[in-house]
Amino acid sequence: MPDYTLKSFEFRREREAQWRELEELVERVEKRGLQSLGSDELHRLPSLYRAALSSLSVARAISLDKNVTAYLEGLSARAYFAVYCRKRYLGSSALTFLLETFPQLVRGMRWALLLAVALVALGAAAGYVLTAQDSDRYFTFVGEDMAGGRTPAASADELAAVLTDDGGGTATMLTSFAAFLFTHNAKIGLLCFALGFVAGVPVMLLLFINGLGLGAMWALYASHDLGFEFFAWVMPHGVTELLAVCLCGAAGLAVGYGVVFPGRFRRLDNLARRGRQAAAVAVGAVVMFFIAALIEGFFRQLVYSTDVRVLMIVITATAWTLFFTRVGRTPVERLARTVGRARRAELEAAVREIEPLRPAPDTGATP
Amino acid sequence: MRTLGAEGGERLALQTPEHVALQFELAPLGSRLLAVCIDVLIVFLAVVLVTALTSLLAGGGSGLGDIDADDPRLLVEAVAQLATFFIWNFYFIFTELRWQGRTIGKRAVGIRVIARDGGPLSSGLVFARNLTRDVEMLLPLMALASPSSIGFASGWGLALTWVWLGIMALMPLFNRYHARVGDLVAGTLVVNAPRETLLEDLVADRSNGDVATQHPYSFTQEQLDLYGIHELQILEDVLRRYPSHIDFDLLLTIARKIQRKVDWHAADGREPDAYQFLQAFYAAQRGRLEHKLLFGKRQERKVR
Repeated sequence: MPDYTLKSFEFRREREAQWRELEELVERVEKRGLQSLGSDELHRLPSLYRAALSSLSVARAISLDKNVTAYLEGLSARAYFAVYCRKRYLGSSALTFLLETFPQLVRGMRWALLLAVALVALGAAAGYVLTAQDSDRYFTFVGEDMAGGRTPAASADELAAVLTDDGGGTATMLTSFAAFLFTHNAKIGLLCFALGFVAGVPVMLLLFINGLGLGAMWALYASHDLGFEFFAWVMPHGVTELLAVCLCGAAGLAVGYGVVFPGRFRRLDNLARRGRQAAAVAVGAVVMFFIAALIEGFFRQLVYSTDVRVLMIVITATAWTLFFTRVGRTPVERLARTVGRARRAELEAAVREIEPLRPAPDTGATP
Repeated sequence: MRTLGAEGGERLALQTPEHVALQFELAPLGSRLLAVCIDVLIVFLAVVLVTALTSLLAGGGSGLGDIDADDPRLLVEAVAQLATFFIWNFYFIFTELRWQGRTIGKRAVGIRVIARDGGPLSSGLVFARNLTRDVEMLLPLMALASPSSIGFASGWGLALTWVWLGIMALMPLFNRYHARVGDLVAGTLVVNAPRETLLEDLVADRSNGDVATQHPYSFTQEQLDLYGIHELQILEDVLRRYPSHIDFDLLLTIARKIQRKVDWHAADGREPDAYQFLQAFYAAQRGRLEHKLLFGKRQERKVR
């Protein structure tokens, strides 16, 4: 009999110890994260990973042992995730997210944001005009549960009483009110984002309908000469809340835009690109809803002075404007400030040009 | 790049920066459904637990009397509401960020989320694939439970809503990646988490760990040229399954079939032990085929 030396057997015997070592490290990373490795092990991980990859290439070429190739295939994949899918610490990344990524992303979708604001404003104007013409239309725009006694039949005193109602007044009552407001609004906001998937059409409707309700209620109060008081009552939290709604809407619109106009990308890839950014904006908006609910649940129920309420409107409006225009500038944005407005568009176009060419950090080619 | 795997399961290749293509198998829809059921159950239990705990801390309050403004039950309700919102919306996000795309349910079932471009699972991506769950799961379920809760009670509006919700919920059936809406928005895929254990080499002699060349059975080159890689690997499967999944009778049948086919006869005329014979044949056959492979001849199938 011709004596074949089994190269695949020798190959496996030489390298098996390394594979086992890598497997043990990967197992620990999967269970307890990268920080569970000592500095020596951390050092060994990438080289062991590359060794496993080269073993895989060799095995595919010379070995007909199905178990070995399948094992190496799986081991390499697991090691790949352990090496490349770095795990950031959730605490610190949350802070960077809120103070850098979030305002940056919002600046990136400023046109969608403007459109969202315009839609709400348009809805509010329509609601105002239509209700002012015929107060019976009020219930078309404001649901029975939303109205809560604020009906066209109510007298001016009754309407004014709502504006200074302390909702029970105790801390317990206020907390539960704030919790309700937050979950209710945040759910609507997230819905706004999730519906963007269908070319953004449902988002536009939702934004417009939200505006309608607001405008109708305004018209009701204005008809009793309480327009300004209503403004001072709704806007201290409304600045934050409406902005958050518009941001979610803008996120949804950006996703929809990504589907309809994929540009130089494939449609699916562009959807993924936009979707990731938009979702991050929606999560940032959830934080804003939380702030808005605190203002609405506590400040509004405890402070009745119209002057102080107006001051709060000014403060929140200024704070958000500064936050979204100044905080967490990228190097490009800082540079654009020094080169001036004219060159800015040029610079942004250049960045957009290289963006698809620049490989994402630590990733390979697209499948 | 997408190729069809040997077992018929969908396979995807992902290029690493080292330019080696890693193969992944798309997770079957059944596993994904099971995983999400486990996760939803965990969310449900967590919400119940939080609510129960707060009501305990708030001092009972199980009576059904009038609720005044200071009633601790109001606080319990507030906490429960917040807990439900955060647990439902952030359980998936948190676990997928914490364990690189594996929620507890996914870990139990053995699947994981990967980015379609092979990149790391960034927070934006995990947010995107999980914030759409309301539209995909909750709304269709609510619509099933009570059609009026979605705004349209009857007529065209209702029909349209049903079509729309159906498309959202059943999206995984309509595309080749089995991606749900969240996967499309985030650019992710759910794949089987690879977990193959390294078994003993079948050609190894168990006594001294060396290659078993001293078998009492030998084969000629002509006898080894009949079968191909496909048959070799089926034989590998058979040998690895013996004795736990395959009984000796099957081994005997296979051994006899091979003997007939390659026209092999024992030197001493007695019928060999089936397992030993098959192991020897496997070792010799693999040696021959790998030898050919080195010379660039990849014989996939048997000759006739």
